[in-house]
Amino acid sequence: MRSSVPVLFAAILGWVSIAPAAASTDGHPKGGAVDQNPPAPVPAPAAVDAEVTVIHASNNADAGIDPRIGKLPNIGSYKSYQLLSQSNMTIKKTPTTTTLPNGRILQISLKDVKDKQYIIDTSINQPGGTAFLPLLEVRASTGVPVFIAGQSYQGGMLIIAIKILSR
Amino acid sequence: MSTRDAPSGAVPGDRPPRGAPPTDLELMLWVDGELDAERAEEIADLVRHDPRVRAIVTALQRGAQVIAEEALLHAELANVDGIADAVMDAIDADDAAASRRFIAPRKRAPAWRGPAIAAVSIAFAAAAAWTVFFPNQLTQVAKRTPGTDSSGVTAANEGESTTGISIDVVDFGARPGTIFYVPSEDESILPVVWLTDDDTPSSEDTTEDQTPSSEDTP
Repeated sequence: MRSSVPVLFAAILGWVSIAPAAASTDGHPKGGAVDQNPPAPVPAPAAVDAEVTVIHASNNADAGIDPRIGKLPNIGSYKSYQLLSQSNMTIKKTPTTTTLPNGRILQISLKDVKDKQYIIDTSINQPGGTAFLPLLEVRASTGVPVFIAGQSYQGGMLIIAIKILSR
Repeated sequence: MSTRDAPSGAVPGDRPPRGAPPTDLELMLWVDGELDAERAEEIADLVRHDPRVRAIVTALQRGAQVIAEEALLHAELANVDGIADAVMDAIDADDAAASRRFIAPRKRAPAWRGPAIAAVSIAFAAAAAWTVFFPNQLTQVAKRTPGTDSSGVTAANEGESTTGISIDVVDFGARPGTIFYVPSEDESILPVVWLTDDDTPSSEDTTEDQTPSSEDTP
C-alpha cells in the first residue's frame, strides 16, 4: 500500500503535465507554464484566403518534377509531377468556384471558424452529370494543406491542394 | 534449669559466666558457627558430655539440614535457575538485536526504485494521454467501397487533429474513396482524400488516358 502511493502520485503528476499540452487546440504542445487564462474569443471572419494548387501526376518520365511545386508529400509513385495552376481565392459563406483542367467545378465555402480553425466545405461537381465529390468538410488551420487526388487526367491524375492562407 | 529460658548469653555482648548452660540462641549460633571461639569451645564440651544439649544441637542441625534440602528442592521445582537463564538469555538476545540494529541497518529498497517507478508511471500517463487525445493519427479514418449508398455521409474525424487539419465529414458519392494521411517533410501529417475516377475520360482528354494502376496508389 505504501509503495503504491508514490506510483499513483507520479501517474497523476504525469497526466497533469502532459494533458494541457496535448489538449492544445492548435496541435502544437506548449512547453513550460500552463496558461491559466482562457483565450479571448476571436470573432469569426466572414472570409478567408486560400491557395488552390492543381498538380498533374503522371508516369511521363521526361517531364520530371516541376520545381514550382516545392515540397510535396509522397502521393502515389508517379514519375512526373507538373504544376498546372496555382491561384488564390477568397472563401466566403457563399460558395466560390473554380474550373479544374478536366472541366469539373471545384466549389469551396467557409462554413465556420472554431478555435482558430476554419471549417470549409468542398465539393467537385461534373457539369451536367453527377458530383465527383459531393462533400468534403475540412477543419483546417492556416498553412496546412489538404489534398484531393484520384481524378483521371491525361494519362495520370490530378492532385488538388487547398491551403488556408493567413491574412 | 532449661537451656531455653536461660537469660544469659541471649544478648550479644552480654557474655554468660564460664560453665553456664547454653541457651537455645547460643546453641543455634554454635550450630551456625557464629559464636566466639571461647564460648564455642565451652558449648562443644557440653555437647560432648551433656546428652540433652547434644540432643538439642542434633535437632537444630537436623532442622537446618531439612530446611536447606527443602529450599533446594523448591528451587529445582520452581526452575529458579531456568528463570534466571531465561532472563539472561532474553537480555542477551536484546543486546544482540540492539547490536544488529546499530551495526547492520535495516535493509531498504534501492535508491533507484522510486525514481524508476515514477518515470515509468509518467511515461505510462503520457502514453495514455496521447492515446486519448490523438486516436486517429497515422490511421485510415474512412473508406468507402463501390456500391455503397452514394448519399451517405461519413463522419471521418472523431478526434482532434495533431497537424492543424482534419477531415470532419466526407461524402464520396458513388465512387470508391479513402482518406489516408501522409507525412510531410516538416514531420506533420497531412490528409489525402483519394477517389478513384472510373468515368469515361472527357473529350479534352487523349485516348491514352488511363486511371492510375493500383500499384501507384499509396
